[in-house]
Amino acid sequence: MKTEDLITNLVADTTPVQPLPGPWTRGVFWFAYGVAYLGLAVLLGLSRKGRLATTGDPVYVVQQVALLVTALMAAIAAFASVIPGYSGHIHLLPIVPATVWLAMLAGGCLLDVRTLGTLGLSSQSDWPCVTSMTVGGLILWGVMALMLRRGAPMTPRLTGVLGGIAALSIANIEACLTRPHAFTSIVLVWHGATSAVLILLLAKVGQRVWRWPTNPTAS
Amino acid sequence: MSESELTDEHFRVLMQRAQGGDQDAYAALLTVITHRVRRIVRRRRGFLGAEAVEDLVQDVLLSVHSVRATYDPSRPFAPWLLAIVRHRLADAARRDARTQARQVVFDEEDVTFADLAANTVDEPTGDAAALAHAIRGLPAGQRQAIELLKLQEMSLKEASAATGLSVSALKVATHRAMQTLKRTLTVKHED
Repeated sequence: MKTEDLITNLVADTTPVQPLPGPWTRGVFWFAYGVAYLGLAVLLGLSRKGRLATTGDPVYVVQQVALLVTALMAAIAAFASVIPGYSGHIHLLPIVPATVWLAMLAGGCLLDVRTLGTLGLSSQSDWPCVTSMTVGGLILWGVMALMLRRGAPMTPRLTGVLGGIAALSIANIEACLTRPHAFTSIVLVWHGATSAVLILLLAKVGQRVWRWPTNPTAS
Repeated sequence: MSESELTDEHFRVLMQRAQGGDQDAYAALLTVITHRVRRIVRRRRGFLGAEAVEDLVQDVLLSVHSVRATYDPSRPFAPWLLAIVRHRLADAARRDARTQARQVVFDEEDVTFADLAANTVDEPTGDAAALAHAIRGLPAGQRQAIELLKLQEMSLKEASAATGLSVSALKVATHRAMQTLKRTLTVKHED
């Protein structure tokens, strides 16, 4: 097909389109959905177990807040990654809160060793958290994936990773709120490994989910 | 207004109108950006050839069309367009690299046959002047048949229409001409 004919076809095909809201707006919208999911999961956990696994420990609170901020920043970065023309620096938004979370966990591990004399890794397996994080992460990521389809698939792997970080951060909070963990290392290793594996998987899925249109007449 | 005088503001306004469904604005926008995109693609991937460059330009236009809702009219147009071009070119480069990695390149082999006499690799081209001379020496009917069917590569039907001779007559004339040429050139070669 000649390029002039393609232009004629595209012009004939054009319909009014609503410009997408900015990544901050869409990120906050998805985050609100994530918080609603979290609220529902907490209510379900409360109704089943009668109480939450929360503590008033400031370290615990800061960890959960850092995860919330990571989720919000990663969501904004994911939505920015499908808008052409945005600076790549916006993709770095979740790094600071995620680093704070990891640093708090590492500090918690050191404190466990100092006060309890062990990391406690062999004391508890955490398969229920792996399950709930996988299910919750996929539900949250799925909604984001649908929203991200309205965008330019410039960096599908990176978009998948950022969306995965956002979804797994919320799922992580849910796992920490509904199930008690005796040792910080359990959270670091089990939750960290689950998050890492799922994020890598979602990066691969992203490549298949978000694609540019193909030119059927290309030689 | 010439293309070079168009500012980002013009593009921004055209795109905003296109997003509102204005077909004239959209046609004007696509026409102008096609020239610019083609220049960029030629500069970066011109070594691929004109056809491949045009395919890439069309890829970019399709992409612009499919993601036109991502353009925010409050932001400049050029970075938006250039980001699409850059990513589409990178995609194409990756696709080409994958394709080349799967291709097996081999040298064109000489055609060989079990019968050594049938191999033509080392066969001399022949004496073109002697052949031309031999054709000129043919009787008029045979010469005409050779010129039309062998030199001008006409079909029997076309040659028949051109000469008014029947297909059978042309076949006979060609056969006889070939026999005569073979004899003439063999004798010349032996001399």
